Amino acid sequence: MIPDWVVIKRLDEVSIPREKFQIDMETWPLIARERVNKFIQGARWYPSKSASRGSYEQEIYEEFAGHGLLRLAAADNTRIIGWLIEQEGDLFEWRYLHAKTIQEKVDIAKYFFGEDKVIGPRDLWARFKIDNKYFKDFKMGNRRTGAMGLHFTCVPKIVSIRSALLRDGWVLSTVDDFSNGVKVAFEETLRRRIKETITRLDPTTREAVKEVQEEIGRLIHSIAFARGKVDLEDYNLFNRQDIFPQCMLDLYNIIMSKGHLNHSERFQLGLYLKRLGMSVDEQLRFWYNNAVDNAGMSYEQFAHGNPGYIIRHMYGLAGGETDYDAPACNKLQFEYYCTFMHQSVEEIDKHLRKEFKNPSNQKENAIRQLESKVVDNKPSEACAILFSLRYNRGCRPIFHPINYSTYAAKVKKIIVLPEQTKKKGLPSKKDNKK
Amino acid sequence: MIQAKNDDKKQPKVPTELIQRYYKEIFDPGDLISIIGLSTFYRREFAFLLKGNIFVRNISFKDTQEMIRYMSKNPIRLSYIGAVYETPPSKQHNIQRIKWESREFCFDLDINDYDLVRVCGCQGKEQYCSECWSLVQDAAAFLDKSLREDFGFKDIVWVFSGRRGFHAWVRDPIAGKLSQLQRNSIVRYLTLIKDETRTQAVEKDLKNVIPLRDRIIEMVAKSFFTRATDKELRAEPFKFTGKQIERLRYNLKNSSRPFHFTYDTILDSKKNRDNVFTHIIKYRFPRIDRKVSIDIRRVLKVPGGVQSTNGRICCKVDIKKIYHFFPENAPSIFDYFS
Repeated sequence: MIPDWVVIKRLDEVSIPREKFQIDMETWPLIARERVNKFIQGARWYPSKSASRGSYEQEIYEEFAGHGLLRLAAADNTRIIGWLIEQEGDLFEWRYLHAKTIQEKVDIAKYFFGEDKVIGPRDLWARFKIDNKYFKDFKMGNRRTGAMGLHFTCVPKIVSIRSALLRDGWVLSTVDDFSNGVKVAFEETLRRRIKETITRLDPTTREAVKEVQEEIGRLIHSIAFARGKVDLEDYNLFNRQDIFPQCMLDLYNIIMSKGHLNHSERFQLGLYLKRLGMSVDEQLRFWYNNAVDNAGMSYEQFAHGNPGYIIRHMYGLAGGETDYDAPACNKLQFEYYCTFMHQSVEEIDKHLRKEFKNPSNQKENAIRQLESKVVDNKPSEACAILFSLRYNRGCRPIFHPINYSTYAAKVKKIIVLPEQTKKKGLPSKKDNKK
Repeated sequence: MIQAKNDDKKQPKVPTELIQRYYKEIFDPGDLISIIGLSTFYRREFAFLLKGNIFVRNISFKDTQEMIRYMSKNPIRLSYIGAVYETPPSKQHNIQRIKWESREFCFDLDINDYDLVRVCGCQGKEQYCSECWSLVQDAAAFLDKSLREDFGFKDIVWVFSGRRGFHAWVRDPIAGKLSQLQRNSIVRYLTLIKDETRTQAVEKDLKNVIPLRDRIIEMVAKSFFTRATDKELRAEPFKFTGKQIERLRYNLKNSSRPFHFTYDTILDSKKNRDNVFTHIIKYRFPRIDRKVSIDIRRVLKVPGGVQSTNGRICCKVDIKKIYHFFPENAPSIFDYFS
């Protein structure tokens, strides 16, 4: 049995009676609001069984009530869903790493991947020869009790970067090394559950949730704004190719010059433009005007036919009704298109030389450094160097194309934070002196 | 052993009528069925390159009889096979519209991917000699062992691609269902050379995957040293002395111990171990065509089909006898219709 703090559990899997979880629209919003505050403050916590039975039950009740209502509120709001999954994922990973026993961690992995995809420490040493030199050479050799095996299909990222031992289809490492893989599985399950939840809601609850949803939306928005984050929808950034990261610029240029992108690339660019504030109607018009495969089709035929269906699908207005968020770089690198993962160094170099003609020594060094990051399989760092080259500002590794564009828009002063917020969020040197 | 350089450009192209006759009279679908199975045959995508460079996709057949009828009636130059879909692919139900179900995990090894490091002088898809052919033989052997030992695959069929390489078909049920993400992770695990057509940068950090590193030394490095001349071994980055070369040659011939003992002993005092490793990887490590392995909708030559440029048949190859297989060993359409 996995611990109750894995809040993805279904109510009949929790150790306290199910009837305690009746939706109560008096108290649940208060609990949910408290969770939002905790998330925003970056707090990390987990219910502990060391408390009395009564207070433990109350803690678990609040866990499920708070997270449950947040999920309901997130279900048809892209901005909240992305934020919530990220927050819950981080909290889950922290809880996983701080779980009291190895067995708890193994059980959690089994819950997400299935019994047949996980080998716990005891079975692991029975299955593989522990005297084998490979285990001794590898870091897990001295931590036998803390090791685990996951089927290679569960943790593709670890396989890609060769950060663990692979034998007979099993990825072998310490339980903590799998924290990111388990977190990804948690996030995927959470996304699925949120989608399931909303379909089961009756109209009354749906209406009640709407109020909470608006409130939480405002709260997240105001906090994000105070931290210097902005609502991109207010700025029509989709018209500004000068702030597009290279991957999106490549796709944009292809659609403009050739009029065709493959399905996943269309999805990637479409979701990015959506996140920059392009409405569904603007998006329909954009693809209708620029894609060649609509030749001979009227706009009406396009918008209500198969091509229009795909675009409405991105906005959650057709098909499974999932309001998709723009994928992060990690996903683009493995499943979609990333310039620094999928273009050869030669192509990248050609492009850079065209963009930065007669570079200064400093820029020349940066170009070389960028190319070596590409060779070393560090696309996020390469993207950050390109940002510095373009905007003359230092930049941390880029993990989301939207982050790139937001930062670029701020540097180019397309987005200007209000003076008051600026002072609050980023104190100047003068303020410090005072 | 073939010593002379082979050049297919000199060979006449196979007449389309002869290819049609082959599919009608000789082609045995049994070989193909033994690889792709019969139960999902009717939902499998086929594609063909027809005379006049017309490429057609989204074709499916109810059974092998229908497939043979199609192949013997149409002016086929090359025949390809793709994935299994939920419903049979057709013009109306093209593969973009129907749900993908499975596709064997395939690998493509081609001799021309080694053009930058072929020291024998052969270039392109049309030329090969025994020296450079050993590169794809080594690659197939290494890949087969890695897929079995590291990933636990058991059912791997090797097929001669018809021209200058091999295709691997991993048939384990789990392999067919792998997502693009999972396929990509395996290909990345097995790819150590980045930017193969230009800088050929090598990833050297294998400290967490010791079995892979040892396998590279056991198979790739051993093969490299077996073929290296004294002149090569005396030059950068090895700079071996006469004594070291003598010991290396002796151990390669006589030692029953795993090769990594010899490798470690000889390079013990070398400060440039990384450079040596990089050099070996660059010159002999497998170069996989990533797109063939990762793209789940990709089509690949039909096993048992004819290569229209030289008339060779894409026949199965026993991996245990891979070092005895040369393109000349593959049956040719001209053998049947001389």
